[in-house]
Amino acid sequence: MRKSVLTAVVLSLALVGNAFAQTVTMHFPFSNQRDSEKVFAAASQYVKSKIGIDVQFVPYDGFDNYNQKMILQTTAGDVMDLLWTSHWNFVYTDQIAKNSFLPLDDLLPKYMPTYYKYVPKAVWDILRYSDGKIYTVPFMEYPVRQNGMWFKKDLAEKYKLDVKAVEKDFRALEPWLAAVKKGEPQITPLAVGANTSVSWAFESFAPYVQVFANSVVLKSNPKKVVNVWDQPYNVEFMKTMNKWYKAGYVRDDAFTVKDIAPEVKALKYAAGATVISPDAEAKFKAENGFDVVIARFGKPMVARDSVAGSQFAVSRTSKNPVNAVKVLELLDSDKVFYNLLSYGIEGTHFKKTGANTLAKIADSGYDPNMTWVFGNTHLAYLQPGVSDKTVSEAQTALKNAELKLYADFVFDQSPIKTVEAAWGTIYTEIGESLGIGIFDPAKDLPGILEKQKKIELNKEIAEVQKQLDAYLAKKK
Amino acid sequence: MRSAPKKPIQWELNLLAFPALILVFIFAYVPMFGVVMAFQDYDYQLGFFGSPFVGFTNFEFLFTTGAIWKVTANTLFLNAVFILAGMAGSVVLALLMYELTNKKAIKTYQTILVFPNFMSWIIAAYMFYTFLNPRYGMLNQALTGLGLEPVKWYSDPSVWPVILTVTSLWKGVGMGSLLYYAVLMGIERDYFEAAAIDGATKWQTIKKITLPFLIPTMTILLILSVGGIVRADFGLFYFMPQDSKALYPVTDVIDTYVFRALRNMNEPGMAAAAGFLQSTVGFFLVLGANAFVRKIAPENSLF
Amino acid sequence: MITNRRTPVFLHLFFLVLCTLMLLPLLSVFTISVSDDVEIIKAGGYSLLPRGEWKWDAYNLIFKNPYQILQAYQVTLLVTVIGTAGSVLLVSGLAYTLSRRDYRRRKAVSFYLFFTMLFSGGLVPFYILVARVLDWRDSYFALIVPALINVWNVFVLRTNFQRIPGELIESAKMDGASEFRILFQIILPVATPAMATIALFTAFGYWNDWWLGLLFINKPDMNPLQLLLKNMLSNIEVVLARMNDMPQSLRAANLVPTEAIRMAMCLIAAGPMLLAFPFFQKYFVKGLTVGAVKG
Repeated sequence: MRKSVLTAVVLSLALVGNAFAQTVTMHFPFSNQRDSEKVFAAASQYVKSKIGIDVQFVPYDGFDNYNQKMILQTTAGDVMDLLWTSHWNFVYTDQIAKNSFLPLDDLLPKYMPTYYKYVPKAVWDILRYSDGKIYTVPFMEYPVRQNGMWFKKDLAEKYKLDVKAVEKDFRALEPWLAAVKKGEPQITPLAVGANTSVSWAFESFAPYVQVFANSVVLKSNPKKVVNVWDQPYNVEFMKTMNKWYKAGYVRDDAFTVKDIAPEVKALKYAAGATVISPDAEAKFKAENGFDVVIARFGKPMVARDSVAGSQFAVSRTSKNPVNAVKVLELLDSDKVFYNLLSYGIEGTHFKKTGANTLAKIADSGYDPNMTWVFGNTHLAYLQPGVSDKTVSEAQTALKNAELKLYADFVFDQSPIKTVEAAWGTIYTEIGESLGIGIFDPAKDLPGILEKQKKIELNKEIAEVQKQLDAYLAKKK
Repeated sequence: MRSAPKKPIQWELNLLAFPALILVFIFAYVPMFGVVMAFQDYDYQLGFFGSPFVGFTNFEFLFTTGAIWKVTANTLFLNAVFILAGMAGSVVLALLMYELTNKKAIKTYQTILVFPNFMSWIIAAYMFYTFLNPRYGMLNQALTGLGLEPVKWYSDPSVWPVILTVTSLWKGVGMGSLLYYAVLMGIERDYFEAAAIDGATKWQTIKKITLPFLIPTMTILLILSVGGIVRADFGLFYFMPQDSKALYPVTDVIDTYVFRALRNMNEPGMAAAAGFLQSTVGFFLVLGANAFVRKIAPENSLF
Repeated sequence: MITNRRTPVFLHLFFLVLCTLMLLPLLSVFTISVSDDVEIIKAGGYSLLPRGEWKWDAYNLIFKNPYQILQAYQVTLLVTVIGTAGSVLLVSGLAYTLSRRDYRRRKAVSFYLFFTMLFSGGLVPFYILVARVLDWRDSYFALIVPALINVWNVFVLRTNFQRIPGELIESAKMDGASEFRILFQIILPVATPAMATIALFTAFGYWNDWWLGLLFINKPDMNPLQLLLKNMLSNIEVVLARMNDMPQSLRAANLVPTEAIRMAMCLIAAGPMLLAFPFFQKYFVKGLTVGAVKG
């Protein structure tokens, strides 16, 4: 134990001495593995030999943990280089607004030429912040977004699910849900937990498109911003979700289910929401181990959440942004480096079974299963069962997909910060209830509308309208 | 090194106190300068010294939503209940314990009563989860066994003031009773013998002899806890309800609110504003409580 | 209350019932840790006593690959031992000074300490101080030093020192003893119960701390025990990730006794303190006397 103290002393002295000034630190969420340090050491060595830059990998155990720590660290102005960010965890637009990231417009073409060209211009444009600058480097997986639902195949057949009807109107699901509820007492019809809802999958059925928090534009009049809470469709929708909850299609203790994935794998649910890719059926089976039928809602579109789900940014506190971008270029264009981080050391953690395929070695001590965190998944060696057309399919899909309305419009919320902060405190309380369906519009809605008035939420709608007008004027 | 007995060697005393005082300065006083954040539009790059001052803007959101009233009311109400219930329970337990004569029994009881005090809230949350889990928990099994409706413990706010009070008692009452028991042990037995000779009833003895001995300690602990009344026990409020959003109307206290404000809203200035308000309210509450005690029983006041 | 009185039976009964209630949560945790997940679900829920035969699978799984837990144990143990020793030393020095009625700055220092119980600068400045100014991330310093001085303990100890007869100090001074000698050779031996109590409080404080770990520790190897527990509570995947050597067949069939593992971890984490506690208990009552802040 004395040794540990000594190490601690030496370590902190070394840190004080700023010995790592030339090192690029890379911070990302992770799921700690027994062999993490071995793999990261090998990766550092590889980068050093390739481009002569020292990289220090700083993994954070778990996404919640990552978000919490990164917010604290950026708030405190810690010296860091590469930071993982996204639209759903450690939110990149918030961080740009708070001045945490460096604009990369000049650096990208110079120091990241390969990947800069590889990512389509449409994607870069979506990521531009309201000042017109690019701050983040996106991942590449399947940059087209389509929502849908999965249904356990045996149950879909047994209770005669009409997928075509459901794709036309999600409410056609009700009879099937009722039948499952009645016929399968051991199974809950819908996989819904504290932070896993199904309602988001039905987005495409709404007669409006969300622009920001509470602000939507009607599909029939896309230039006018209105409050989503005033829309009759929304009230109806909340009623439906509440009806489903009351009917028992959702677990009554969904609140306590913080992590639903293991339960889905344990066959406790009949259906759930999911994001769709062309091989969704195969993918789902590979992950969860059972056959499903998939319903696809709406059209595949390029949207912010399809390209911003995993990105890297350069911290404004970085001492060598150029080196940081060079490391990113290597990560996103070098197969060896990328697969090293994703799957571990060849021979120890995985075996190559072909030029572009691999087989994982069981219980090898490194299997984080997070290839998408590291950026360009198109570089990944393919696992058994994964089609070798995945990459080309992704590229064709991107070419054919339409751009979601206002996908490249970024709202700058700094003028209405107080309103948004106030709304944030209200929404935290009801967000989960809305997702699960506990929120009963007849009983709970008037109170929420009252509160909206008090915090002057209409300021948000007005500000969004103002910025959207400016955006439209500029577009022309 | 010889000095007159009446004059302490001040520098030696200073030296003994110094390391601890320095640490208090570094870890308690230095961060206090951070309150400036509450009045800034905090920019990560500009930091404390460069961020622009914005007056009271950061406080606005607390008042427009009414959130501050709600969390403050929750904090004050629940803590007041904990303090009063804890004090009453501790004093009663101490008095009862004092009636016991079997030394071994006393030891055993005390050990068991005090053990929860040393469980972290994280572990306590696991423990109570086994009772409160809506599907498998023992409370709901008991309720359905009795033919009653099961309760969705983690989504029904109305039961939580009781649950929180019970858990807070579970954890603290044993230790509290020891504090008072220690005082009782210091009372000369002569008092009681004299009372017994005078034919005093048990209740009279307690009222006339035992309680007056306890009152100074009770007052001190009360003032100290009033100082802490705006500071909720973060572990209790964060881990016990499993951070269930449905329970926020009851379980959300200033500390958890500030913690979330920083984590979710990404507005350190606003989080600091809430924290600043919390400290200020607590400060004035203590001044008030102390002034009150000074009036009625000056010897028991803090300062 | 004459000394030869007898304790009424109902009083014992009351304490027995109360003690049982206090222990129920502990019992139920133990029960789940030796029960089968599937059986729990089949039987309709948890129970106070194990329904079937005791199963030690959870413990076996944990100890099969105990690396993570041992590591956490080691961190927590080191922090607890060093932190407690340092804290008791520094706190007793300060408490002794304050206990001396002839110390000139007594009132000012008391208020200086008391004020910190009321006012705090908040999380961000504290974080900046420790993580950036002192640069103690992933270091034992961050887990130990910020918690060294507990003001409450200072006040408890001071009150105890004050009860030591002044003549002891006076006569020592006549013999020319320095304040240091008085503290270490006269006061501390007399105040053993109080010191033991403070030591125990401090030790438990360090043992149960997760907050400093959450803020300042990133390296998985340096996670203190409670932080590991907290992560497991919020995310069962964390539990599973630790179990790299778990039989593949178990994992694939989803037969991992997750509930039992959680509860077993809980007991493993609390165990040492539960065992250590009775040894300190004899000092407890004598050491626990609280006095006024102004002294």
